[in-house]
Amino acid sequence: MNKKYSLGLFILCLFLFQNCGKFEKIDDINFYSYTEAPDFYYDLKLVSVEIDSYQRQHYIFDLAMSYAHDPEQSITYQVLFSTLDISGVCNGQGGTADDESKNVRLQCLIPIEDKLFLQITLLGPRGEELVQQYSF
Amino acid sequence: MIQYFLVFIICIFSHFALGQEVSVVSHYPETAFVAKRMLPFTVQGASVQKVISVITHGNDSCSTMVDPYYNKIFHIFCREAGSVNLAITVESTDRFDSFVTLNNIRIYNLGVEIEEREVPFAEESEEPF
Repeated sequence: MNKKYSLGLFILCLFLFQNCGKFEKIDDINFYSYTEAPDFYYDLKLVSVEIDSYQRQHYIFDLAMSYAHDPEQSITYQVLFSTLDISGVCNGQGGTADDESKNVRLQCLIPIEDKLFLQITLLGPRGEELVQQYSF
Repeated sequence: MIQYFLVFIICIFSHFALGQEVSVVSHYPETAFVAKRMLPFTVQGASVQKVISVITHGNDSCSTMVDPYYNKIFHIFCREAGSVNLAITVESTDRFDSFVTLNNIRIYNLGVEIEEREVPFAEESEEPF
């Protein structure tokens, strides 16, 4: 009886030990989102949405972009904003992205009930073009 | 015997000389180094053929990968802010592989502004959607 009890306890301990390990998230291997050789690397992140006293939403975005074939090459970018009802709700923003300006902040102010749409266009030095749309 | 010794010395020196020719260039400025963003880097150098491996130290939340389409580009992705060090192994056209280290890459939380990393706002235009 004692032997069986000890064996059972040992197996229980072994089982518990096996389950005490730290479980690591492995979803990071999916951070690469390009499905074909990209001409540009880019990433748009929403930094904040604040509602002001006039019941408007103030969006701030952080955009990073680069030419995939040459990190030192500049690219041209343009960001346009829209809602379902109003085209060009905020002024478009854009220019040449080189060195430090490959990371810029974008902002837009819209009525609180509206959904915001963004269209980002990136142009490369050899005529490459990428158009990407987002909604918030 | 002395010939072997000279060949050995030449090999050692050529290995270090190659190491100096390899450089790592970030695609994004440091202000864009934020958590949960994929950060691309290109390894440059006349003899560079491809990135073999990238190992991170100092920030357990970081993962790395070599770009599946461009073999001189690798990416790091950190779930959390903090400093990270990289040890990169590069295959070259010469006999030896090169080893490059990038130390103290600072990853920030998005939206946390500190003095030296204020991101500029984009210029406005009158373009409609």
